[in-house]
Amino acid sequence: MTLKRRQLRVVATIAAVVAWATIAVARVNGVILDSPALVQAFTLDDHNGKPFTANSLKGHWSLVLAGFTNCPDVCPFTLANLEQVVAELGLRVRPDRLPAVIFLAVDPDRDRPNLKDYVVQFHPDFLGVTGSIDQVDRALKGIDAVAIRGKPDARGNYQVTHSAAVAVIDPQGRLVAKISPPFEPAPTAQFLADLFHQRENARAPGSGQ
Amino acid sequence: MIGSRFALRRFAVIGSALVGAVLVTVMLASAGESLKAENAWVPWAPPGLKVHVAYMTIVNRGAADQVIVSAESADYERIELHRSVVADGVSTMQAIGEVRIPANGRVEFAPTGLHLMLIGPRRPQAVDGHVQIVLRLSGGEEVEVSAVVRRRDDEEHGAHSHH
Repeated sequence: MTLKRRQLRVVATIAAVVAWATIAVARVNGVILDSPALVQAFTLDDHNGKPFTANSLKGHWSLVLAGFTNCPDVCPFTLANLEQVVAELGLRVRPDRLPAVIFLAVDPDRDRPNLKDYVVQFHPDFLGVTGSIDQVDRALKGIDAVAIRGKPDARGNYQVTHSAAVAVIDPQGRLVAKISPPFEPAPTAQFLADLFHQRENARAPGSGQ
Repeated sequence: MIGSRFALRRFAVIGSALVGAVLVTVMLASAGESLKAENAWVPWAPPGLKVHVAYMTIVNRGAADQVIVSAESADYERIELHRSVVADGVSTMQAIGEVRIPANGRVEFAPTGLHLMLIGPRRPQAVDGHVQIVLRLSGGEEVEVSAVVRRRDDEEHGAHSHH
């Protein structure tokens, strides 16, 4: 009888732990690619007018998201959460492993005038990059993302639809993972810390990289 | 005699018009008063951005559903009711014609969901300033909303406030 009750208690505890773990995992929506994909060459400009190419992604981790400055809801929400993700990550990894946050502006004509102001309001180190439509679309392809620009209405306004995921680029310039909304700071930071750790351990012994 | 009858009729006409006007006012006021906007805020955006957003909770304490059909503000060229949708990995915004607030219910206008898109600011935003918004209901009633301008990382209204 007592044993049975104890068993029940153990089962209940295990069930509670599993349920909690499931909830904790469910709050980060991350996918690690089976094989990393090198981001194809592209040429853009950053919000300070300096060239930004696929090579600019090398030597550090990067989080790249597509968006546009006339996006008042989802894009700022994502950028604000990424600022918190990086802050949380600062508690888990060395400063030199902290990722650069790159905002790939997909609506260049409307984005260019305000790109810097839009991006740095979330963090002074966040970088906005853009180019011609063709250049932007090529860069999007490299991170496995898309943007669709709608037809202008009578007022000349148009909608922009874009990939919601954030691309995680490793220091070799390869797409290695994607994170999807809602980007909860702590679990997302833990997901990234685990990913960075795992990748660095994997290539540590004599990999030559 | 005739003159006084005319006067009486005129009085009756004016009287009923007055009563009617009062009734309509009371009805409008009651519909408008059953609907309240709580915690309305506008995230601060840097100068130059032409599209802002407003979030709030709409509470309907009345016994009848209410339907928001449009919104306007003297501070913006126009306002659109929008919903953000993430489907198949793609993020998009949809303009929506109306938002129904169920009787004794509430609807959240919150980040990555329903929101008021504020287009074409007519004056610069200031943190702690207010944006006056008028919500129009399907019956012609109006609900006045005063939304405070706050930074997104503000403790109470941050992008992520559901710890």
